[in-house]
Amino acid sequence: MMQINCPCCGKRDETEFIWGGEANLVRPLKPDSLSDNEWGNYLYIRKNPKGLHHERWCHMYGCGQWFNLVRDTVSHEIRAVYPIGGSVQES
Amino acid sequence: MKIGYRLMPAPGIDFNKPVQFSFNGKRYQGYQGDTLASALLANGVKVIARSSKFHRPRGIFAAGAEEANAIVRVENGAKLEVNVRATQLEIYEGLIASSQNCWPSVNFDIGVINDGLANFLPAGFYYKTFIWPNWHWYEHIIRRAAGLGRAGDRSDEDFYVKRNIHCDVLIIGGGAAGIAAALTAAHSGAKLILIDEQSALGGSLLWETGRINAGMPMHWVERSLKQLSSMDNVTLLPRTIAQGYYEHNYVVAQQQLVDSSLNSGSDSMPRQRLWKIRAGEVILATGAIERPLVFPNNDRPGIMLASAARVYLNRYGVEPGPRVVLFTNNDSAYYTALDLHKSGRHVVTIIDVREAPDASVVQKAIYKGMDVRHGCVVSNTKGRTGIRSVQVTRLRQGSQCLSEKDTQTIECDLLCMSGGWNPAVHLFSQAGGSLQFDDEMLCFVPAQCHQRVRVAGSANGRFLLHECLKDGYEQGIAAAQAAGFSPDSGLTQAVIEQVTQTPVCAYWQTPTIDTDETEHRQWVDFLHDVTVADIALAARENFRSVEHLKRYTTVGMGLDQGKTSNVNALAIMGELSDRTVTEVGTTKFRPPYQPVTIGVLAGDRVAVLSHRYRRLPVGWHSENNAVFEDHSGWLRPAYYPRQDELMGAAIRREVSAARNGVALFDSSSLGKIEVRGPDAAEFLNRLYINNVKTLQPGRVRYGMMLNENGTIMDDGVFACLADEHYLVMTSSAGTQLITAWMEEWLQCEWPDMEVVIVPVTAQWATLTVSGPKARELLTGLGMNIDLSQSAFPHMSLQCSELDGIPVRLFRVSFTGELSYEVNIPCSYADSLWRLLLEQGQPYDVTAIGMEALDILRIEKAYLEVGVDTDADTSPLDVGWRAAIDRKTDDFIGRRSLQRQHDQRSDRLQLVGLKPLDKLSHIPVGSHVLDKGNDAVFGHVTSSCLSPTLNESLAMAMIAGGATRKGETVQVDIDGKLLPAHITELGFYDSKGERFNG
Repeated sequence: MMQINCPCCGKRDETEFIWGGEANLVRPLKPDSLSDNEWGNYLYIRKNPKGLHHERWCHMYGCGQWFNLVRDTVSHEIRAVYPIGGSVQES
Repeated sequence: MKIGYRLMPAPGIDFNKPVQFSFNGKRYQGYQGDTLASALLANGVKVIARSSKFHRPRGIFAAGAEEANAIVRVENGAKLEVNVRATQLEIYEGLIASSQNCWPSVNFDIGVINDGLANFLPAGFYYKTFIWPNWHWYEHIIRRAAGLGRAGDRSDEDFYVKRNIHCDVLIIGGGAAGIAAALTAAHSGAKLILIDEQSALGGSLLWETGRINAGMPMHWVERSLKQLSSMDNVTLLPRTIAQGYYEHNYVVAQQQLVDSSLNSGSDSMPRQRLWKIRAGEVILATGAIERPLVFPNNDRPGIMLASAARVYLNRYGVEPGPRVVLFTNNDSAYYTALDLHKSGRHVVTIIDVREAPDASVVQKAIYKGMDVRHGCVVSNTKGRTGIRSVQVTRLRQGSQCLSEKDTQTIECDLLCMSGGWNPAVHLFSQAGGSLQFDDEMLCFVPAQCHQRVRVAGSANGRFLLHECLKDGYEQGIAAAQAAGFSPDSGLTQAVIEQVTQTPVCAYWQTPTIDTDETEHRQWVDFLHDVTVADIALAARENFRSVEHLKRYTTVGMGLDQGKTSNVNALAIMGELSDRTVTEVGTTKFRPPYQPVTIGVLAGDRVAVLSHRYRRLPVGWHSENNAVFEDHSGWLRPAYYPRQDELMGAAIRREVSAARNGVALFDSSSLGKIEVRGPDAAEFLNRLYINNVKTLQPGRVRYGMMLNENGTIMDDGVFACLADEHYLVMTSSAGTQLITAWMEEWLQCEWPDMEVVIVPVTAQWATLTVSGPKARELLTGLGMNIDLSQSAFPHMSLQCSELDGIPVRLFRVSFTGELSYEVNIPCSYADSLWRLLLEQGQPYDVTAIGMEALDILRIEKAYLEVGVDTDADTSPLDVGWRAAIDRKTDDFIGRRSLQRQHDQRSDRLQLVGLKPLDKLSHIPVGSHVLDKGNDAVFGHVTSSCLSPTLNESLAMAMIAGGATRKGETVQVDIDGKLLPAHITELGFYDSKGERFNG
């Protein structure tokens, strides 16, 4: 079980968090103007890297806040934690 | 002193404390400190169990977790535990143990017939054999024959606890390396935990006869432990098995709490504790496991690992023999030979595969006058229920075959074997570490791991005692430093005599002398009866991958997970397919390291605590005979029977009250979320498929939320309480889901919106007053609200006070009748409920439960999300196309509804269904068939026998249902076809005159 450094609460066990998938997805501003393919890409197509992955997590059973982190999908090492809409350097 | 097989004194045994126990119904005596295995050996019991497939007699073959033969059942009834290794069970007064997998008894077992049929039962035989006419014909017979012990059918009477703990350094394994590491790490001041699976710390030093500081190793262990246990920063946990090593140095261990003098857990004492340890640094000092050698009939009782014989002799004072043969390809069996020789009376022969070993221990054995035969192997053994003799054959240089001519028979009572050592790398592998095969030591050793873990001692391939201790000291220092502590370098390190050694020689299987393979089966996996022939068969059939080899032959599966069989199997596979062990590779080890009690994983989450229900704030229900049921985690009244009233009668009475008088229903579990802020309307407008921005204060609207895939997540009403202030009502099941859904969009996608979300489900109770007399009842309550139709129409709300308590009154209806939902702070819910019942007496107000409500809503054909809809149902499928077309703004899920698949006219669509035979009930889940053909094109989602209309009603999802109203279809009810009409949605008062009244 991983230990995640919540930006608000500090280090907590993974069981207090929920995983929200790939980080930094942006919902299209005008979905109506997209083709089915483009909409399908937004809905379903996700990165699945072997290595560093930006993903969002929520401290659901703690402060309830969403944030982003960078996790190595091989070693589960968490390289950085950063706010939603922010970038890695800000952490 | 020697009595029977016992040699006194022995360091691990307290001979002043005899312990009585029974095995297979016979009473025996052991002593405190004995394991079941040592006690049985001391009593001369040879056959302990039967093997899983061939039911071969098996004895004790190891002394620890690697035991693959001596697996027994312990106790009976609620205390029954199966598949217990006799080598790990400490005996206690009154222990009852017995053999398993045999009938009628372990000494005469009918199942042994399989042994004679071995030629017909090769690896994977059931995959090939039991395929005609199909597997299910045979399945129950095979399933009954498979496996070992039968699990008990009573619930476990013991209780279990869990504990979380953090430490700077965790050391797993309390042998020489573990204790040495603990000494150096502990002196740095680091918070340290040392765990070990055995009842006593010391590992191999509990039986090692080499010298530490020129004294017995146990003296060094005792001194070191005394020192460690006096330190505040050290926790020592014996009888604790590290079962799993997970991400971020999270280790889960299982501790046996009950002292062996007690039977098992008592009322006040838990049986086991689960430790959840988060460690800064981890040192694995898990030792090594000796490998058996692979030769014909190497599975007989009386054939034992050389190290195990040493454990029984030196720790437990159990003296096997007197005639002992040792078969080895490395030095370590010589230590066993020397110890046996020293204990006296033993005739010892050592068979060594190697041509010219010259290690100091070998020279010592020769010097002592032992019969040492180099370049020889054991080519067969005799003795069905206990070894009687071995055949020794001289290896010929350059020849692949053994010859009868070079063979000699030696009689013996014990055959000790040593095929080299495997470091216990299981936890390292679990941690994500990679392994590499060491061609010198012929074993897998730890290579790389991304976690903060070190491996010390023989687990790291440092098999000699002086290497082991040195490695332990060094890894302890390194771990303490890595954890940020300064180790005390002044610690006096123990001094060990150094020895020379001769390397282990690769000898993975034995060439057979004659061709009768059944008589010369060579066991690789004792537990699963996997032989060299099975691996050869797998190789012939081209199962080259280790993962396939494992699953096809079952080698390395089950209780012991291949602790003694894996490397032999891989090496044999390598020889057969002309690959090195490195090329063959190894399977990954997964938790748990040993079988684990389900109870300790559950901890206190059993019985009522296994699932905690939410309860309604009204206490009246339980005082008044309500029958409670679980509805999405809430315990809610299903119905309220009066005296001897049956369920059906009670429900019909409750429905009738709602339709004809007035009913009272506790809706407090409805989800309630307050949404406030300047952007609240815009925010909700993006989530609901409805137009939110046009909703005026004081008005209520029914709406739905979709996920981005366009399917329905939840429904319910939402109300505009005031400008910038909304109350969202969700289904009882949806409250947490929708709160989280809103938060995620707000925090992740629209962080600039000024909106605050507050879930208030637990703050506000909701009591629903429904029925033609609802208005009259509420009028007398004194809420100071004009309830007339013109002042308070359907789908509106009023806020007021009742005796100074805030009240929110919603006029909405889920029953189809005139209905008001009274929202009041939870702490007043019970008082208000009782007040409403009292005020309603003149109208015969009736408390109704979930069952009646379900019928009321089906009579109205109101859909219930999650019942009538599933994860593929869009609002278009339930008749919401017009409402969506009216809305011009985008909302979550809208774009997905435009896709071709979502627009298809033959999607499953919600319709009403009425059987032609009006009173035939249609069970939920029934398939709906097209008239005349057998194609399934829908299913029933809700149904009831309507007391109001006196007919059977149903709702169903039917392909293209929206355009098929009036058609007749067939409903399949357990194979019988029931014709039914597809109808409009809405059976009762479809114009809605009653709730608008």
